[in-house]
Amino acid sequence: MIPMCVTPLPLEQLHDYFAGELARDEEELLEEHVFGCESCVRTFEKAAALAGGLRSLVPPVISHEKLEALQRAGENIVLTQADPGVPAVAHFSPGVSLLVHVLRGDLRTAERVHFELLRRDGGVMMTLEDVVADRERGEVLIVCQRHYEHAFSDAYSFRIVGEWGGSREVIGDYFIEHIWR
Amino acid sequence: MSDASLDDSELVRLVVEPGEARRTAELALCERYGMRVRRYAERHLRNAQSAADLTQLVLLSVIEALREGRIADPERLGAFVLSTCRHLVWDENRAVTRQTRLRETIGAEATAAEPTTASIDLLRLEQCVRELPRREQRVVLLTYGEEWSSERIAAELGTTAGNVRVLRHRALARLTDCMEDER
Repeated sequence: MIPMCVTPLPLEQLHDYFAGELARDEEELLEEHVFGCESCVRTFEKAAALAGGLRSLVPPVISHEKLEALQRAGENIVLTQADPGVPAVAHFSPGVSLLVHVLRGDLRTAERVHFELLRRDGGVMMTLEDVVADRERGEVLIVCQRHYEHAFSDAYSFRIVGEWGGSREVIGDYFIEHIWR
Repeated sequence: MSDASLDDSELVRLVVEPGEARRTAELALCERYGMRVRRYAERHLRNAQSAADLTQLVLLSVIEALREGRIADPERLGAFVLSTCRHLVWDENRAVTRQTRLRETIGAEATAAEPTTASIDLLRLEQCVRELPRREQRVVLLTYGEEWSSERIAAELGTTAGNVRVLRHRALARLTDCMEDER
């Protein structure tokens, strides 16, 4: 029988630990508690599994830092440069782990940048607000994963929208044909 | 089979005895601490393969120390395991044959010493993240996807680091509920 813990670790503190947000001394105290307390192991594992799962997800929009980290980790990534209105093709060949679409546009003065995924009829399938954008390079990096073939089978085009003083304006529409095999 | 009913001091005592009792105790030790060591290693190394390697090395080092009677306070076995983790965490690139060495040390059932860590349905998790309120979603993606600190996220979102932590806690609670709803 596992003895009850007198001072169980709060789940929030464990989440902070796995997010790397605790001070060094707090982190060490938490580790000492976990290695000495059978009762808190389950909560520790629960927080670890969620943080690990979130880290293994690749966000739909990433920074150049993240792109480089994925490349360093050995991911086989195909980059597709796309300019507004100019058709492009992205080929998800066998062995490719991710497609990254480099959507280019003039983002220099935009206060916020938003991303939309559109259907052929112009309806919005998905909106991601205030996405990571490289304003200097004028690029937004959109990640496409293999299972999106089914998850977003109606998708037709991408749109980047800029925001200035609360009003929004389309920066560009991008047409990338996906070849999934 | 390992024996989870043994307490730490019994494990320490049994490991110095020869034969089946030793093997049972060593497997119980791997089962009891393996997951914690693995999660500790993942947290500090941020690399799954390095974490798996380090887990093997820590368990091996602890078992060797136990066999040699080098553990002064058997009641504090957990503290000993943690201090071994801390000593070895910087050294994730050591020899690649740890699994082999562990197998040689505790026998053919060493694969049973691979810690069982909870797996998570990633497609479901992705869906749950998509359903988060916009700001919480952003905090989660920047924290875990981009490895940004709360301070950096706060600057990006025009808020405080404290508020980012609150948003993250809320988001993680929602994600936990969302993942449990699926079951």
